[in-house]
Amino acid sequence: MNTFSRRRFLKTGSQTIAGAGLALSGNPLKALAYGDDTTQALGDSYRALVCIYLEGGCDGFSLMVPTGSYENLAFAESRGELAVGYDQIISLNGGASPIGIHSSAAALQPLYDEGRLAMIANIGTLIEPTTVEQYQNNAVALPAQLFSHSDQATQWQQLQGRGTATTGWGAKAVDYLESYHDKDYLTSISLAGSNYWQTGATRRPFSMTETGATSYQGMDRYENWQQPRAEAFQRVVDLPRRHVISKAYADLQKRAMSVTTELGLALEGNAAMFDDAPAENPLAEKLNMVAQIIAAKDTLGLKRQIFYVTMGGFDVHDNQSKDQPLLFAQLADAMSYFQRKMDDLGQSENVTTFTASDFGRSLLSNGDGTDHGWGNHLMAMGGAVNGGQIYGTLPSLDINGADSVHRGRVLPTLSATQYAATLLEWIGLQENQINEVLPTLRNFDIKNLDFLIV
Amino acid sequence: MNLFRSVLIMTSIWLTVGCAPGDSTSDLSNQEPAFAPALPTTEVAHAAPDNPLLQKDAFRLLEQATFGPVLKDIVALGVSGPEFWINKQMQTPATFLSDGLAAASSQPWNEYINVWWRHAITAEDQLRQRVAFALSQILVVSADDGLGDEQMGLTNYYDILLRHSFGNFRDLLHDVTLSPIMGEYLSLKGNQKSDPEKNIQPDENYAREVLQLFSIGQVILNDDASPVLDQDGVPLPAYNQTTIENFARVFTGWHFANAEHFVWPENKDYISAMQPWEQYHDQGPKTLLNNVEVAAGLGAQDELNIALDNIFNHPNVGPFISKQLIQRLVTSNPTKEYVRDVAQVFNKNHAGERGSLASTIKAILMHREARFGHIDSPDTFGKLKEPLIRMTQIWRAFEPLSIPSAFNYSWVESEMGQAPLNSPSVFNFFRPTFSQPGEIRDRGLVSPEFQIMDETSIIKITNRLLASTIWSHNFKHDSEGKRIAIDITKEMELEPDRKALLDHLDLLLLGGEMSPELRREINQLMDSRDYPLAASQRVVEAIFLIASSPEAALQR
Repeated sequence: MNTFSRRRFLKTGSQTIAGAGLALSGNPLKALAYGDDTTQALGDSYRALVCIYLEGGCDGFSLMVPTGSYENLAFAESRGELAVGYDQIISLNGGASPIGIHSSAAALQPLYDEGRLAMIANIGTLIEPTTVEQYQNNAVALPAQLFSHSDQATQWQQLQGRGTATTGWGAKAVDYLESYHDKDYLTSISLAGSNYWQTGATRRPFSMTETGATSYQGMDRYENWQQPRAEAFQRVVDLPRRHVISKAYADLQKRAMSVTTELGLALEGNAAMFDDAPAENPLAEKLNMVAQIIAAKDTLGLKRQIFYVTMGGFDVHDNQSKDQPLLFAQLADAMSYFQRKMDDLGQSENVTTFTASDFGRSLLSNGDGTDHGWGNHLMAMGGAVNGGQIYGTLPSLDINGADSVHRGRVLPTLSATQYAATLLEWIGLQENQINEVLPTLRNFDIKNLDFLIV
Repeated sequence: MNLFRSVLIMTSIWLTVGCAPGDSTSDLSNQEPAFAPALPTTEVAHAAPDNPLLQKDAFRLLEQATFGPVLKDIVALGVSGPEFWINKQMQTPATFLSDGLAAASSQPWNEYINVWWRHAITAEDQLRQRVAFALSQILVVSADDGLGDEQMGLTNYYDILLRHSFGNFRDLLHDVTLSPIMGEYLSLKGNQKSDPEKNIQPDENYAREVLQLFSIGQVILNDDASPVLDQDGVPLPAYNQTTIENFARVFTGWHFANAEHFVWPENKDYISAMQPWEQYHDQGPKTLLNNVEVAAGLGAQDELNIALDNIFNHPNVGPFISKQLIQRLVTSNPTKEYVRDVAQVFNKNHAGERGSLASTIKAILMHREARFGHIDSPDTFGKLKEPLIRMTQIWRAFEPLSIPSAFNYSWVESEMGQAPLNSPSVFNFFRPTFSQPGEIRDRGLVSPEFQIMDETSIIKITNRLLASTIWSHNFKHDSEGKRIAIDITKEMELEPDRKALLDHLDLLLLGGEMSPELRREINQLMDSRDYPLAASQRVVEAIFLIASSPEAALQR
């Protein structure tokens, strides 16, 4: 099984697949059945989601730009001095695609053309399907505090509906993903500290940095001099106590101590293979560490993981034309690098990377930057992605056009919830589990955007 | 004692220098710091009696009001009581960051962080320093995202907070709004009125954040900071998108004081208050909070004053700011009564002034909950100490003889996730609503500081505590010139008497709350270091074991 790519198998072995209880067409949420060779192999396989969260509201409309003259003109007229001209666009699918990629993100073009990068168009936070008229008349439930960073970032990461939520959809998914292996930690890893996506009532991600698992200094219990100190430290941490804060601190210390040792050992052998991250690219360094952990998944005994990394600086209220190309370049180079490492590890089909962001940016400018928008274009990348295509509906980028609500915010046509559901189904949640993780999914007819081959 | 106190109060009232709310001056650098009037203890409802404090209670107050308790203050509070100490603190001349920066022997681009360390550790005006630090986490600017090269400007911004720590919130709001550093951080600087032909609309960044984070918050609040709910149990919004747009239009036409033209000026003054350019200011009528109408045709400064008054007078400001200050200084989960009592002082102090930060801070510290909350709620009162304060506390407790001129810990954020004026966003290092999963969350409590406490930072803090104690003390002969060597002279004198030493460390680091179990572990560890000339080793092992313990991480 392992020598086949999943996609080839699905294309050639349809009889076997039907016999194995999987559906190629029809209800995309048909649950996996366990118990025969095919699904046994699936059960043994590894899958991971890597979320690249773009902080501040990434201007997807400038990253994935219309190439058609009418659409490009509409965009140029809306954005004025911030327009992305033809000389800054690289065409996709040999020019056949109505969308081109910003030239600073050239590294993404081969991935798109070879079918491993997909674009998801005009997606944003929605509670239920919403038309412009419904928005303007407040006729449907809308996400609270649209256009506020903290609220939209939180909502993107939680997707629990309108009220105040206490748990992220990643954290909820981990409850189910943990059943794939014997560990109750390291399923959820963050290289950006605590975040709403991976935090739930009892759950936090394991937090680490791009340099690896941090180790304690001066507390090696196998070293004669340090041993009494290390043991005293451990015993102090283990003392019974009552105050909720010192208890929580002690619990965190205990977790840090045990996991750090294990992770450090598991990552030890890998260094040479991962010495090649592009220079001066913080995102690439973080993805490099994600790759190292994936390389150690068998040692760590992990079958399902979710990773969270971030890249900041996208809130381009000013200096947009100067800053944004640099951001796009960093993002594209890092993503391209990461996919190469997944290829090297033979994990291309098992790891899906996706972008998310607070919101897109407004069609209108404030002179040298843009304000908070709503609908955005995002990307999914990996061997399991049915790439080289645009999913969803391209909106009008005319500020006076049909999709613009008010100061150039584009009303999304796809919801973050549908996006999340697609990712969760791929990583192995069943239909009822997905509905539990994403309570507003029932408001939408399309539960899977089909950009991933399950 | 009483006669002394009455004389002191009378003298202090006589020395009162008032600063009327609404004074606006465009030259920030010439303002003198206002000396706070000494205010009667009973200004806040449910005040604790102003008696000399037991050592453990003195320790508690000092953890709330300074960057770390020192012995001489613990002793002083046992003589005079909290009110005297607070008054004295409020009347101590301010130590400004820019003065420290000017005096620094060298000034690499982020030397201001090292100056901050020096002041936090050694400045006499500890309460003011602590309050300014708290304000810097509410009225946030950050070197992240573009201002990293502007240390003079950042330093001056911090000085604005210091200057107004015991002044009036309205003045603070004004000076923060016109700070060019804030102007750049939240894109108020260079913001221009709309130009429909070019599809330009005024940027909403500052308008949104000044309401959401700096003054009233997103929902209507009761005076105890709980949200007002509609009949479906949903909080009522305090403003909407239209309000933001109106304020965005108010905040137009401002730029660097010495800008030679408005669009992309070459001259950049990150220190002086911004100046108005009327031709870029939106002159249309506006509707502000609570449907207050502003007529057309007003100049930028006049309109700014009206807008800031409008914000300042919103009933939310008292509870919104009071609760956060309580959370920064005293406890993460104050009772509604505590918030309400303090907010009432903010709303109107004894002199009838709205927005007196001096009165508010004093109310926070004199309220019975600050003094007795640990008795009322022994398992939940208090807060997790921030990483920066874990370190200042050690460096203050073992008062270093001097801080080396080459001292450099400007890179603290990469270790501990926190550095002054360096938060990752305008939402500070942590949000007031963050709740650590597990028991804290199950019990409906918040723990903001836990948002940056994770497996990485907890190890790094532990490592830094070890390096700063076991590897860096004045009885070690090979300490580097760049580190602070803690002074353990007094501890070495006590060392032969183990019990006396541990009692002393107990008071100095844990306020006398050391458990027998912890004491036993310390004794055992010290016993294991029993070779000749190991006295200093024993002392610092004890200090580290205490300082790194979960009990030392808790302020209570």
